[in-house]
Amino acid sequence: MKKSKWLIYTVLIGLTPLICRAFICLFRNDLEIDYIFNVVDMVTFGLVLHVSNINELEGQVHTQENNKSTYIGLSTFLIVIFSVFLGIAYLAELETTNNYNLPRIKICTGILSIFSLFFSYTIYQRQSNGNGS
Amino acid sequence: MGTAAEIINTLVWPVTIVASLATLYLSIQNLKDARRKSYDEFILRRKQRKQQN
Repeated sequence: MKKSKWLIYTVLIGLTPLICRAFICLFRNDLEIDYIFNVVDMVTFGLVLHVSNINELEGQVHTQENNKSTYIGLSTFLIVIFSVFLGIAYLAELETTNNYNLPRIKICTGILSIFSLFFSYTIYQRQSNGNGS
Repeated sequence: MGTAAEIINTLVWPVTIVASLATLYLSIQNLKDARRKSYDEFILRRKQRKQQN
């Protein structure tokens, strides 16, 4: 139950911008597949996941205190990294000189988002195991 | 501005790799921990059942 709620309320909500872009890309012929994967959208997805992780871990009773602190620490660290990437993406949009390697930032954000999804899954998996559901 | 951009471009990969590895390590640790705990609970329940019988 907990996992399906996580899937609907966190993952789907976080993926809404990507889903919207995918729909737009589906109905327009002049757009490339690259249009779906936007840095800002992927950063938003990662931020949503980690904020929900922190919220979930705060209320967890099945996890040891030091483990909980480690997981919350990692989530906070990743929020900081995602925020830095968001800042770079906004800055790269403003710059006309093309100094920033935006494709590289896009790939890095995508990798981090995938790992964040796995991390979030393990946290909710543990919670649903602990509740016995 | 160019130098700052170069530094950022260089640092993006190492930061991502470190963060990804840390996330993966803690995720696996979390899964292992959860599995061990559920196994311990299973053993405890079995013991209790045997005592009741």
